[in-house]
Amino acid sequence: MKFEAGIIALAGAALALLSALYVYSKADRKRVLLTALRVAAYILIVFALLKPSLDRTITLKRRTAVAVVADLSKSMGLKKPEDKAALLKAAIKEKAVPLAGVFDVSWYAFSGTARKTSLEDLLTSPRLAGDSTDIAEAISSAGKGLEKDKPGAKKALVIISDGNSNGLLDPVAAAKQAGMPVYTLGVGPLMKGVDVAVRSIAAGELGFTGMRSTVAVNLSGANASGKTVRVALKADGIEIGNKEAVLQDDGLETVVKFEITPKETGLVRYRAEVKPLPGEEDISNNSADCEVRVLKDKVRILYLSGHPNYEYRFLRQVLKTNPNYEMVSFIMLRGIKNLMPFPEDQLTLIPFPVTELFTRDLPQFDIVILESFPYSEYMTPDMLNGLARLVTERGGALLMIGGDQSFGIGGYAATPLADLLPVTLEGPLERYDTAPYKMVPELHPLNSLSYSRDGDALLWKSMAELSDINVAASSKPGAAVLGRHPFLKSKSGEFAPVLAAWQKGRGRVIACMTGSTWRWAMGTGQETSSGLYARYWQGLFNWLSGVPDVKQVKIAADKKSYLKNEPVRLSISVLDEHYRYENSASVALLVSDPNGRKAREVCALSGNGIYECSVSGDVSGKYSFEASVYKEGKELGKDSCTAEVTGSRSEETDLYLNETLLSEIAEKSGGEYLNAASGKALLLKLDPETEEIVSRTRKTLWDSPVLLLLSALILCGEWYIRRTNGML
Amino acid sequence: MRKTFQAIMLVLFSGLLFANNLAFARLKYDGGNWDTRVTAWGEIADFLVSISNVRAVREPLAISPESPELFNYPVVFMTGDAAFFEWKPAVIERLKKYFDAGGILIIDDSAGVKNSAFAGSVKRELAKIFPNEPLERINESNAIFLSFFLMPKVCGIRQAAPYLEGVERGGQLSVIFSENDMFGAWEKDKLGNWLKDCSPGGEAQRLEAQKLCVNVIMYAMVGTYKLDAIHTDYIRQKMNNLNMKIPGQAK
Repeated sequence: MKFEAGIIALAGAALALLSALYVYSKADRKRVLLTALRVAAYILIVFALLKPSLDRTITLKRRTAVAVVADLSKSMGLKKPEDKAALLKAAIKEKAVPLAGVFDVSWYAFSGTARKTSLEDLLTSPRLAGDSTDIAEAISSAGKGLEKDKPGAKKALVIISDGNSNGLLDPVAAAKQAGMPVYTLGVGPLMKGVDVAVRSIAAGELGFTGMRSTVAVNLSGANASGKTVRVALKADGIEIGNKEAVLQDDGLETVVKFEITPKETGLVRYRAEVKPLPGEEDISNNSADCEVRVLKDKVRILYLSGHPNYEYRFLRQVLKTNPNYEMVSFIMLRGIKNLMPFPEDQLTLIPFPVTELFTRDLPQFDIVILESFPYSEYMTPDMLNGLARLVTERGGALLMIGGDQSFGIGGYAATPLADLLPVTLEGPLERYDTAPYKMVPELHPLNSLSYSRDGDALLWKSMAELSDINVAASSKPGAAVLGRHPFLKSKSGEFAPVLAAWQKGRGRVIACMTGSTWRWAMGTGQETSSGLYARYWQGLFNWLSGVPDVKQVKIAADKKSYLKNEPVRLSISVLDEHYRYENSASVALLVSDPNGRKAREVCALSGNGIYECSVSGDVSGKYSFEASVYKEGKELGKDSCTAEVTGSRSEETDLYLNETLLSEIAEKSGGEYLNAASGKALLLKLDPETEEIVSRTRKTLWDSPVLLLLSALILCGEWYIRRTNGML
Repeated sequence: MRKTFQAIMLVLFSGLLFANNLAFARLKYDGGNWDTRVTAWGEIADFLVSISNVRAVREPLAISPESPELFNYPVVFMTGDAAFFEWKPAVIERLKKYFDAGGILIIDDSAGVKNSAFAGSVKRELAKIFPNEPLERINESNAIFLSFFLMPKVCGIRQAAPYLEGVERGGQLSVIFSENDMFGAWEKDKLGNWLKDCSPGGEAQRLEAQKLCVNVIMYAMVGTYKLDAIHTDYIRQKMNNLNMKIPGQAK
């Protein structure tokens, strides 16, 4: 029963009535009676206004639900150095079973997803054969199971495991998200002997021939602090270096760095191996691998600019800050028409070595940039032919940048370079317009500045206006136009191309019809766009130099290593011969497992130019995937990648208890960790029972007809007394 | 009248200004005197066009740091001869963005004396824009001393400081600061006579000031171009032949 203000008011009214009766017995009875009746009426009205009610609550006591989740993975069945199965049974019996007397305990077993089982099964015939120890998944699935079976009850999880989690997700994060405390009970021997492990080997995914880069090997040790180990680095099985390292304290990583200088292009597999320490039992973790795709060394660029200008300054900054580029540049600071009132020895100008460049040195360059360059003042027709051959026959690249000495207006229409360009030039009277405009980008991979089309649209919208354009007669058939003028039209009727690219013979050519892309770097003051500017040009230079991220066919796995039977998601991006997204190709995937067995899969289109396929590996080791892309019977290209399936390896080698992880899981979720070997009991800091309100009723006292009638009677009685006694 | 004329010229030449040519965009600020070298800019433009392939616009223009136009000009010039008002935080932020984007500010103290009130104001504001990158003496091996003329003497129409100062970021100077009234060396009257005398070096000093001025502008157009190996070998050889001291090398 619950009393509210109305009840207090009722008590007050009763008290007032009694007081009135007492006064009535002592004084002028009629007057006192009238006063009492009036007071009583007021009290009743006040009582009604306070809306008193009578509450009734029924509660139920509910036992706290606990899920005991036992690890039945393979590693729990290892017999050495101690019989973990026996330790597991003992832990369940001695530490978990007593909980059943206090809490409402459910029994679960896990390797991956936790499934419900019985105590009897866990104690008599546990199948310790799980391929993985996915503690994160176990926490999540057991938590959900408990929620379903015991709604409303307070809950907790008890994980009994060796803590050697090898699932995909972070168990600590899963514990944090469980919404209930996770207690952990550690089973298994602690590392007593020495151990050294190669935790990781890190190198850049790309390397370049002749260029030094670093491979970092991370080592960790157990009971091996201060011990010296020898680390060997192998490239495709051949030792290329070795170093000694002194191991730091347990839990701390020791980093050993090797400098590598790849000599040949291709995929190189590096392996770091540590010689086992005397008495080391587990040598399975003494090595680790990584792969580096080695490309040819620096891209050599020849940049010729017709006059000092900002386009040169900003592009120079992009090229000079990239260590993969080596640039030789010449700006025509002075022309033959310029006067010079100062002696030559006061100038730093050097003669332009055009003959050496275009006869002797040209084959050394991968990309030639001509930016508003007046070729007729310096170059002979033979030199131009040589440049054309560099592109079409030797696989070089040409980038022509706009300006008042470029393209048609620069006289290039009558040269062999006109044929190389992806736009048709007009003659010397070609229009060169200097009114500001915003380039309209076309949907093309080279225009990708972010990871999504919406992101690209926003970024392009933020780019500043350009301020000049050489208006070509048209773009050539087969050219990929990357951007156009918003309203200025070419003679062909199309919006004038601002940027166009294509493959010409063995080489690649970009026509940048403007010399004001530096404005993208300067931006508009709203957002600094220099990052976008550099990224965009980087992409164009990568394409010109044939760096693999703009290959026509490119395959990638979503991760580098997988657990057994875990889906390996492969995505294949496909561009047509003009480097536009290709959506109507057929993509075949050849899967080779570690035993050499081959299988074919077909990939389906999932997005613009992206085809996907999912396979799973049931054998440990390296899988190879080769994608072959065809369109109308013609091969567009091939690409391959590898992925490691390592599912069961750690289950067979994880001998020892990982107390660190189990403690962290418990700590972060509000639970506690206990080593099952300790003599302590597993105490859950939870109330065994919680009270739960199952029903609540409320009876209102103020809206009763009796109350209304009583009030009316009192007022009428008072009126009657006054009337009969002439007191009105 | 002059302002109206400038406005008309600005409209007429707006296409050219917006293109890629060098424009003398002068920073207009509150307080002090931002427009000290009125006739210099056309002279510099004419000189640059006559001796080099630089495309320069004769007509100068004024640009406020708060103007959206600021980012159209990767090089901005600032002159003055007196203290000026503190810049608002919004101006500081805007100039930070300008420099981050690759803009260069060339400052010349028209007072031509060491530690002038103008220099004090400049340093005060630069310290706000670059709290971690102080204004420092530009080393004589910097590309600025090789960008067109070979090691011009650091001077203006005065010789207040035998060095230039600058703020270097990412291997490039964002700010170049001269205390010698470098642009004063270009001022002429309507009859074509020099407006300011050079002291203490007379006309020889003027030529050096003009050479330095060309180098500074050329640097703003082509960056560190002259530090490329193909140039430095040649320049080193030339300096050896001329028996000049090569920066950074004991002679």
